[in-house]
Amino acid sequence: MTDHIAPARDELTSASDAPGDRVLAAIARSVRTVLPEIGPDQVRPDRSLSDLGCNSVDRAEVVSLAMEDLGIEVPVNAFSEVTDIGTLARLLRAYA
Amino acid sequence: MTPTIQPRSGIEALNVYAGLARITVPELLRGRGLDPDRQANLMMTSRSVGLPVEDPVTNAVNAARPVVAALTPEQRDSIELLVTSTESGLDLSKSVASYVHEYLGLSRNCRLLEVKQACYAATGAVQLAAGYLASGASPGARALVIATDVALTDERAEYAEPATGHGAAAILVSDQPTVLALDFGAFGTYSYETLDSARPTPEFDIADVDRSLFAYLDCLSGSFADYQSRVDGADFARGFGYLAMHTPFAGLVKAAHRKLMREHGAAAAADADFQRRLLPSLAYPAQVGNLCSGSVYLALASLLDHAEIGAPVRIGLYAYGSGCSSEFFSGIADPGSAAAVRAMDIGGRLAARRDLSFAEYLGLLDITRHCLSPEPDRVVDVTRYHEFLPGGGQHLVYTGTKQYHRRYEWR
Repeated sequence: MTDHIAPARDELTSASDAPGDRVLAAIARSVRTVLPEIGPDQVRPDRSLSDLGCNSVDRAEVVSLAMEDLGIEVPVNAFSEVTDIGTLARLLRAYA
Repeated sequence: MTPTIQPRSGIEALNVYAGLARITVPELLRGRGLDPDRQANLMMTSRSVGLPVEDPVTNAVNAARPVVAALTPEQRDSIELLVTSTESGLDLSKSVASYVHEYLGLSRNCRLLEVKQACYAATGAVQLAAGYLASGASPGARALVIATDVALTDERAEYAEPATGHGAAAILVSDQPTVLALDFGAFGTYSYETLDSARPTPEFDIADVDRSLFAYLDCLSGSFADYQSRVDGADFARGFGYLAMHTPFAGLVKAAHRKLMREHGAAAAADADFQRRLLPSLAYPAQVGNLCSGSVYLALASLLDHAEIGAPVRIGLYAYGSGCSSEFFSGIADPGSAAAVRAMDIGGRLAARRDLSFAEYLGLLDITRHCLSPEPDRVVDVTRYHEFLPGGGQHLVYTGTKQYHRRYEWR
């Protein structure tokens, strides 16, 4: 784990909960493309993709789809700080 | 698409050896107490399991022996380069190739090398060999590249344990490419440093599953983009009659194909296209598991054994190795390619593997997971494993080690 890099949880939650957050919206669309049974309100910053029922291939697809949706490329090594949807959104936002 | 076809080099012969024993994926998942529903994601039915009389040398020799045996003495002596590609090295200095050279009876006028770049390495060696042969430096020469590995996975690997294979792929490269005429100059590479999986000691593998799957998908896009930059008009969705990819498990190949179809504007056709262009390549990987750098060649053999190839067809291939390095390349196969691979009877030998119960598997694993650990002396009681051996004196077995020198016999 790279705790020294990961920001504090309250900072993430506040940043990711902003209304109209296009990054979080892109993640939600990607999750629902891979797992259509997931409701839009289930994709929250404090949950992980695994919590939502994503297996390893699903998780890789969700992240790929979200990057395509946003038109960004994030280096593989940058994902080491991602622990949940909030930290994923924060990372993608840094490249958006 | 206009790759330069001249000069001509590629794969003359291809064989895969995938062990003498297997365990079904449901049996292994049940034994480990893992979720049986995950079999659908793995898209696998069984995996090969190594025996204590097997190691990277025996796997390599048992894969290559039928290829070498089909050559005339003059053709055998034209093998001027032997490369073993492995992440299961037996020594930090002495190569697996040095033993393989001896037991295959190759010429003393032969270059020997061992290469390592996780599951990519064999493809790097095939491309370098093909380029060397095409250079004209030694007209009529052949190169033998053998991808060979053993599994060290146990319960710590969780769902990677049922997906890990055991065996070797032997690829004979020459200017008579019966199995696959490589499109000269048509390739794309994509590499960068990451620690997605590795074998830091001879005793175990580490894997960051999310990072590895993501890097596999990322590198397919990156290597195909490089291929496109070199090949006018290259088209992922329409330019290849079939595809064969490195197959850690078939579910990942399906996701990778879907991603590329999406990126190339053909998302709607992805499911039907997967069935048509990729499914034939997955039949053997689904029965064997991940063969490391031999995996893409197991997929190619599966494709040539299962697709209806009635006319020359372009095949797109993707090799990925953790760490990471990757390549997308292509070649032409025809009905003669399928006939040449079919003559090796890979499917028949896969079907002849003995089924293991979970208890038998655990008993073997206690020994085989230490297979790569250096020991000055070891004795293997071959008679305990006679029931697994095909008989006939054409199968190489590991009998032990004496003062670090490994010993082998034909049984």
